[in-house]
Amino acid sequence: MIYLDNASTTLKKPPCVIKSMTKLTKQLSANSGRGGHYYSREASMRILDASQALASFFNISSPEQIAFTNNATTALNFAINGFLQNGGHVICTALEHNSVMRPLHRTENVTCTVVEPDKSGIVDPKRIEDAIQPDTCLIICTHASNVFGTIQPIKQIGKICKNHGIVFLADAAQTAGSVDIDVKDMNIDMLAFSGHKGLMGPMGTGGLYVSENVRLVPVITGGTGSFSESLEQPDFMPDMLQSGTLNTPAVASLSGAVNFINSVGIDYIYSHETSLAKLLFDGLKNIPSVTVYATDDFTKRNGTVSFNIYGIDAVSVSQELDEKYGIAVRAGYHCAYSAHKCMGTHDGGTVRASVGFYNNQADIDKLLHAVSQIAKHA
Amino acid sequence: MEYALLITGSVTKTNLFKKSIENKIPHISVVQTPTSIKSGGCSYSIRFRREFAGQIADLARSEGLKKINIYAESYNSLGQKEYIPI
Repeated sequence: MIYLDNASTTLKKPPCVIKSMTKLTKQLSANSGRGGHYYSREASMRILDASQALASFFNISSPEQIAFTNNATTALNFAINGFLQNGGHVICTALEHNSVMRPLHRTENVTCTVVEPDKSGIVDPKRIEDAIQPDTCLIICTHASNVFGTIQPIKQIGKICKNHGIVFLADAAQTAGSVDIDVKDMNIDMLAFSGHKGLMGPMGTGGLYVSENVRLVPVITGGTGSFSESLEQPDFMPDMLQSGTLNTPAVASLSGAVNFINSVGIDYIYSHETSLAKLLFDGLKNIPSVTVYATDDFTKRNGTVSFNIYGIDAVSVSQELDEKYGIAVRAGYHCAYSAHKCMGTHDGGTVRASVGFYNNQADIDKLLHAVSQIAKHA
Repeated sequence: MEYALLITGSVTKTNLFKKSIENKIPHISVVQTPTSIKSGGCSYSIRFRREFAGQIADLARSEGLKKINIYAESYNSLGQKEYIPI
């Protein structure tokens, strides 16, 4: 089976991550910050190791400003719902995932301007700046579209936010671990990331970095192991956002994942994934009746490629790829319907193939062969 | 051997502080803050040899700890542990 659904989650994990998960599940399924015994202390220290590894990875000064969550969706909900308690005007892009769109839709007293990308699938930062209103308090931008793989100019957007004194939330679900992120250089105030995708960490891991300058109201409250006499949630990170038991083996194993990426080199990973994606993109373009979407400039893309075969429903294509050719891709709207509306793929969505670190050229060749065979029926 | 405690608060802050000083101060450990001296509920402390109290306080200040609360561990006449601010 060939796995090309890495935008959803990376199926294959580095050996050090699996080893760490196995070892820690056996030896350290203990609760961090919930006692003074050896296991609890050790769990706390391993989780701090993961915070420090990630802080260094994203150029975050204070590891305690990272709260671990189950995934990027939870992180985004913490950021959006926690920041917009008093309402206000928000700007986001039409490329955002439903983990941004749905919390925004539900939050009361919030008005939202949705900025569309151009035909290449990239948002012009000037259009974001033009959408700023006197009460704009938050700008949200995905670092890369989970549908089209286009990398957004978040450094320029971060600069606009800084110039206007607006908080900037970046969604790095599709880029953490495969595209370089520097929160200082990019002026990111809040960074939501998944641990189980590009970082190649265990399932059920993610996190939210919150700058010291941003005040959030915790959405979930409960036991933190700190200030237990008070009914008020602690107001300091990470306890403020980390109620309840963490998945110690999984969170701690993110250290190994980050170390693995550092040892391989994120530039190498990015180059590997985008060169395979470009092979796929170029190959698909040469198949009659296949449409491939967004820019062909692979300096502005990651490893995700969306396409359709004329006259064949995207879900049918993915089913045939799965059943007949043993290739795992995803079809449909990929939880980002507004992205399809502005890119013209809202009638059925797309077939999405997303390359990961463990894919190789043979995988791409097999997918191209399979698509060319299916396209003959178009 | 006499020991003392520096109340550091959250487990994250405590471990961060421990990591930052463990190459400078020998024999330090993380403990839950004893009930008699904690304020507000559960927290953690750094336990160290009392002779290093001054150094620990300086390091805590340089690491940005806002409150420097150090207690000496001792035993009362009944043999019970007690904590005296220093």
